[in-house]
Amino acid sequence: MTERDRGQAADVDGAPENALFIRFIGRLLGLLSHELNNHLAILRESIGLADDILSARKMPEKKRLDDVTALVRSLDENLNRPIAIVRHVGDLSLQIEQDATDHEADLMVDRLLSLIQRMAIQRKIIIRKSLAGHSLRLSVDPLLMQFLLFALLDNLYSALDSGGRVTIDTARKGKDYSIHITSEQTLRTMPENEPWPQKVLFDTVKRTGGTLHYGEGGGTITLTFPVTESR
Amino acid sequence: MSAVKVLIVDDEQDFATALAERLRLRGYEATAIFSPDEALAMVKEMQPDVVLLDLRLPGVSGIEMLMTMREFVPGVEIILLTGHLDLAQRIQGMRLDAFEYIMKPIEIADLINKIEKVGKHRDRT
Repeated sequence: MTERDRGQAADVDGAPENALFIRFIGRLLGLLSHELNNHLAILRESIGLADDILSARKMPEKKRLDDVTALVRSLDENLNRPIAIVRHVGDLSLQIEQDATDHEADLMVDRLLSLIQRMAIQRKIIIRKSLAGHSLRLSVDPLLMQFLLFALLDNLYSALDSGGRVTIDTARKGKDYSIHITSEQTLRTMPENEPWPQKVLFDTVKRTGGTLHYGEGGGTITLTFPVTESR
Repeated sequence: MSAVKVLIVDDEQDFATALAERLRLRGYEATAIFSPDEALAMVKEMQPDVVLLDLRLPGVSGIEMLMTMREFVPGVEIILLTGHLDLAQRIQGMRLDAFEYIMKPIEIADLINKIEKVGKHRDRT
């Protein structure tokens, strides 16, 4: 696969196919429900175990107290990720309701990555992110940007073997905000097996006024969007 | 009648560890394993009566693990653990002769019933 600039190739048809966009929302909901459910399972078993220990009269009193204390502390720790997920979901809901141009780009990227981190964990992929930290506003609807980022990462993960590292960097480059994705691993899947069709991705990017570039072998991806203003 | 041997295979360590302890408090010989590779080794070593197997292990599908475990220990009964069960997974699991399914979060009484069914089946054969 040679380096391609397909950002100019597709004709703009309008909005991304609604079915695929709805599928993105569905996938997001599925990921979050799965992760929250895992934490609920941990909480239930831990609470159940605490109850079992308190009922175990043959167990020495001190051991019962020590074991239950340890469980209570672990319960508290296990609440951290569900709390974070619920907050991110609440923020996403507000984001969707608010003015589409009133969002910081890095925050939108970070929100999506935080919500979908389980996707990488499930494939034993380590994510390293390096966000530029600029307070940039973009002209693109952030949910569209998040859809594109999600779809690109989902395609990438499906083309990787288990394990490996993916780096996600953001930067301001002239009048554009860029998201750069790099995989350490070589991709193994041919494009036709990707979960998200390339035509839709390129059509969507073009509609935003941005660009999408793939590096040699498809292991590097650069997505750019025009910046409207910065603080 | 010897205690039923239960192997729990789930990457959520807090969950698997707590569940194993709960089963031990109820008289079962329970072990928790968190990775697919260690699970296969433990299945061979422990020769469990029942394996509680997470359907969504990192890097490998639970269905693939089920097939491999059957090769290692043909008589082992496998109860699939899942947070969400779609029809395709259910059919696939039935074809591969999974003993039972149980949804997470688990109702411990429901799990005990299923394990006891395995125990009775074991003792009859």
